[in-house]
Amino acid sequence: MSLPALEFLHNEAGEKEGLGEAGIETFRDTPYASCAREAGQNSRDASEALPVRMTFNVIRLPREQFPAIEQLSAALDACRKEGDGEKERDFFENATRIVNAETIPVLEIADYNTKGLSGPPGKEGTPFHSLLKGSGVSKKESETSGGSFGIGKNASFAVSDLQMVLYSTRYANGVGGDDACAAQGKVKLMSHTDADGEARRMTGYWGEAGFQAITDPQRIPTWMHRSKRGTSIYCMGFRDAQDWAERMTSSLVTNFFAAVHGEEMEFEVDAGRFLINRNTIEALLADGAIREATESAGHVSEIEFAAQLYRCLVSPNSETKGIDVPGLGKMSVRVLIDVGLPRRLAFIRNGMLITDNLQHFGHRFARFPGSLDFVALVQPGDDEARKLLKQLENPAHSELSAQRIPDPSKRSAADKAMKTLGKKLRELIRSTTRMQVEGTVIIDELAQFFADPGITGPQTDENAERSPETHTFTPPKVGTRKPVRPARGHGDEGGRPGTGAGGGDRGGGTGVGAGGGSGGSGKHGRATPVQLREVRNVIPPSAEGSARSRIIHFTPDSDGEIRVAIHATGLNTAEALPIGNADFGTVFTGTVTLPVRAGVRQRVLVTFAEPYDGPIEVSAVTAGEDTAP
Amino acid sequence: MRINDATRFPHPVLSLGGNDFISGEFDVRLEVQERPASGALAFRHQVVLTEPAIAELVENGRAAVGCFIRCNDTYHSELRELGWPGGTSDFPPGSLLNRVTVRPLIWLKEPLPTWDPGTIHPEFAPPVSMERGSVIAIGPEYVLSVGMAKFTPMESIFELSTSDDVPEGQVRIDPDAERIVILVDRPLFETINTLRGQALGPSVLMNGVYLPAVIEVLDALRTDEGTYSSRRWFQPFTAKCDAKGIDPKNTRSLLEAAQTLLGSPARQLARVVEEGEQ
Repeated sequence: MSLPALEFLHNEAGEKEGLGEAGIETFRDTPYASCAREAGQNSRDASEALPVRMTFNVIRLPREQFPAIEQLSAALDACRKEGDGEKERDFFENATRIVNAETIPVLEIADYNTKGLSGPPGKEGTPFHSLLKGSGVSKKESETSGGSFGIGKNASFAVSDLQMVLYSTRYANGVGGDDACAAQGKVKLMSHTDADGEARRMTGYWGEAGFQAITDPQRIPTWMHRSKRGTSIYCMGFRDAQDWAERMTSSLVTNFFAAVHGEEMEFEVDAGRFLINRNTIEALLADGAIREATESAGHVSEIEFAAQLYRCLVSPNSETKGIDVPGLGKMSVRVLIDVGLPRRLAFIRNGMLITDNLQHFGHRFARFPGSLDFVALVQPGDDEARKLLKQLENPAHSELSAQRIPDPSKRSAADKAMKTLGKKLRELIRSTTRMQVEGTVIIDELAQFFADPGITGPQTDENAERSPETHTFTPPKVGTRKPVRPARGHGDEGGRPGTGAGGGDRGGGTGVGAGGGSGGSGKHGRATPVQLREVRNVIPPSAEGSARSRIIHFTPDSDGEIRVAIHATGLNTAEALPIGNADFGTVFTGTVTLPVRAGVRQRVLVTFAEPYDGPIEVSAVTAGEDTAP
Repeated sequence: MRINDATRFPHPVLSLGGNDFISGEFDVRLEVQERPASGALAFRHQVVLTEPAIAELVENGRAAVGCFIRCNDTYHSELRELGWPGGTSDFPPGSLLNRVTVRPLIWLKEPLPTWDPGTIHPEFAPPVSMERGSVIAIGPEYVLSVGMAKFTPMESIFELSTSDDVPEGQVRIDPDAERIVILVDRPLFETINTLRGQALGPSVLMNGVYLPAVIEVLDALRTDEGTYSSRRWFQPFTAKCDAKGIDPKNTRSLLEAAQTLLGSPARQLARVVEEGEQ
């Protein structure tokens, strides 16, 4: 059986197809940002569990492992000879250089916790078929999903200097048993005449004969194998600009900050150099290197806006209100007011940023002159609204317009609903962000010029900045408790250090205060705290599975017999955990008395009366005569 | 949960003095920002975490960093998740007041069934198993004092007030009060306050409202200084004049003097233009 091959479609009609395919050209201006965004959206739609995890990594593929490299080279050669413009010449000369190199850069975009591209691959209407061979169709799992395999799939070609993309997927085969696999590739060059003199179209497929996908895992190249369900996209001859990872990260954090915060998506870019998850998203939105790359691509305002929207999303100072629009459904509006915010709003669907306006419905939302500074997030509040917004999205997912709805009556209804939404949004923003003060206000901004220090007294915090409008300070740490040293008294039993005047022959010796106390006499000494260092505890495995026992390790600071007590860390106060048994020492009234030596590591296995697996506090005092029967 | 320096978990926890891990430090450095005017409060934080295995868990989203925040005066008790390695957290005005304790924590967001990063103390007999939610690092506690009483270093001697006696769209000054009162009609009052809540608004107000107001006050001092000498605004205002070498009675130009006192506010207009272009 021959190896999978690259074959271009026949061109019976002799159509002339150029290099500038409209689908790819759409994403030429922002190839990295578009590729990351479109891939992210498609993976989010195919989620099987959350979070959907995606990786973006560059592979240096040895030339001999590049699928159908000779066939591709031949096609590039044929195209180069027929290309009559400077653009074509440059493209094919560059592509030829790439395929002749020892290694070829490949961008691998892999998703996890997704369903993969369900097949069978050759069956029309399946996700795999729609992605590889669909044109002008949008195969989606649900009407409210965020993505499709429409024009967006071309974004992967925009970052390939060979305009070649391979796909490898693993999906549930629907009849039980093992998952099914499928792999296929697609290349978009220009119409040409092949070495056999046959007219070929611009589009070629890599796979089995008859333009079919490879479904036998043994015939899929090892480097394309997937061990887990999901899809991998390979952009062959990746244009690996020095800051590709920063640009893609910028796009991912800008567009998916809401999905990432909601733990619906996670990303890993450039072998883990950028980890995008709920923990890291805020810092990445402010990251200097990412902002620099974003600035060089002319999109710094977008990431700045996304950072402000993120703050709106997470700040408890934000206020959420609902809007019910007939014909659209429920919309949720979250508004944050603070000086310096951009007085803009943004529409988000399925965790993805869509647009900041409704300009096709007469609402540009460019100016809110009577408002305090604010930022607002607008999201669908129910499936009805999600569905309509999805229908209104342009292929680049950056605008909303009713003109995409073919049915005139539905289009008119959508137009009316969105215009109503725009009007209600403006009213809501106006009412929420209008300054509401009564009577008199102090003009704080003039305090820096004419301050009255006598009104409120001097500033007491030495760390505070001298700013009249914002007070910034660094709080002090609470001091760590110093070890409590036992008092070393003289006599039969030492009393606690006294503070009174006068002398006594059995006073404690090292405390604060000058005098000797009167508590030093008698037979029963008062217990003195013993410092325990490096206290650790482990729950030993038990047959019945209950956490009744605990191994306690510690190092005491003093010699002699000490009485050890254990407390459970409670909600507000510590609760005593009575010790019922111990593997050495003497158990008495819920504590255990142990003979110890200062600085020598101790280990004791204790058993509680009741099972408890939470944190504890271990304390010890010197043992007196009342500690044992 | 009441966590203090004596709390010990039945699994390794990175903490000060615990030595459950071979080495490493965990701390959350805080900077507190209070806005006296609005009562708004924000924490800016930077996480210090030098234990590599725990840092990896946080970077990969398998563990979360946060702070347990308690305020007895407002009964506010919250475990606030924080961004890694730094970020900002807002707090609603009034939610925290007076003594607030902040205890940094790291906890697991998913179970770790057999974890042995090679840095755990052997007394725990690694590998260890920990459940989702287990605390794996505790930082030193911070105590901060939140509230107006503590921090206002100085208060403005100007206030804005509505007056039915002021013609529409006009501004009047009343220096015969404890603060210098800028009087306007109600619509203008709302407009001025809206501008005060916008980033560029104060630049406009400084030139359009406050500068003329200061000129008016200088004029009042020039003509009738004795009338106001007992007012609370008088001392700070004249002290500032002295510091800038301005004698209201002998100054040639009240406009120049006012501009000096307000730090040449016309310069701020350039910023308005720049922002507008952007």
